[in-house]
Amino acid sequence: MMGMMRQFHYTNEKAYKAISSQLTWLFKASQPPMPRVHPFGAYFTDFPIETPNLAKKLRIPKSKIEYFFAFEDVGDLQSIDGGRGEHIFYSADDYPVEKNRQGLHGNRIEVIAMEEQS
Amino acid sequence: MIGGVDIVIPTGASPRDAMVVSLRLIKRIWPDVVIEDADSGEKSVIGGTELIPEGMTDVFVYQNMEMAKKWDELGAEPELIDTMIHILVRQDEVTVVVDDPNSKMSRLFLSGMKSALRMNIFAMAGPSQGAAA
Repeated sequence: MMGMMRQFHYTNEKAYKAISSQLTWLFKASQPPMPRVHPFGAYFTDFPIETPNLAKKLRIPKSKIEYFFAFEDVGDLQSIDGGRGEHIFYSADDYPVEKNRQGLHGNRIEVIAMEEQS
Repeated sequence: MIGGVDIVIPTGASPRDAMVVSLRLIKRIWPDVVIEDADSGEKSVIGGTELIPEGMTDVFVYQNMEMAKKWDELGAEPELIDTMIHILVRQDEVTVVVDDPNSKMSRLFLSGMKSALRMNIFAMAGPSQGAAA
């Protein structure tokens, strides 16, 4: 994955286990929380795991950034409107990521700690 | 994996002026406002003789220090609805991220901000370098 553009999907433990148990990761499209303004979709970001204030930038609870998936960006995701669209993207449909695009995944804090030690 | 509602307001104001006018408007509603540079994490209490830091384009604006600390601890939990506004200033537009654009607080702030930014009040009033909140 070195040198490639990457996308990340952040989630909680339950969803992490469900997605990571499959050979092809499948990020399911859903309706973001009320009020229903953002499009139905599967959401991603290019903010890496060590990004300061990550939960605030995505405006989600910290419990939903405990786990992550990283994968190669092939430029097929759409930006949301406005300034956050520089870093937040979505697919209007379920989004599969096959093995050849998959990168690091796991507990975000543990992976950051491992990367700092190496 | 996304929360909040992104309101995009076109403006002819410079990024610096757009940030100053936005923070002034919020301070009228939240007198004890605390701002945080989204990238550095540096927090400031603005008002009085305190100047709005130069070069800030991506800012979290909290109702007060207590709420700022709760956001640090929890992120966007339901108990913190309407206690933080995220402002992203870009050339020709300002994005305001709120929990619910129809809440009383958001409507109050957004209506004032849309008027001020669309009119570009700084272009009428003159330069604002070193503006205080």
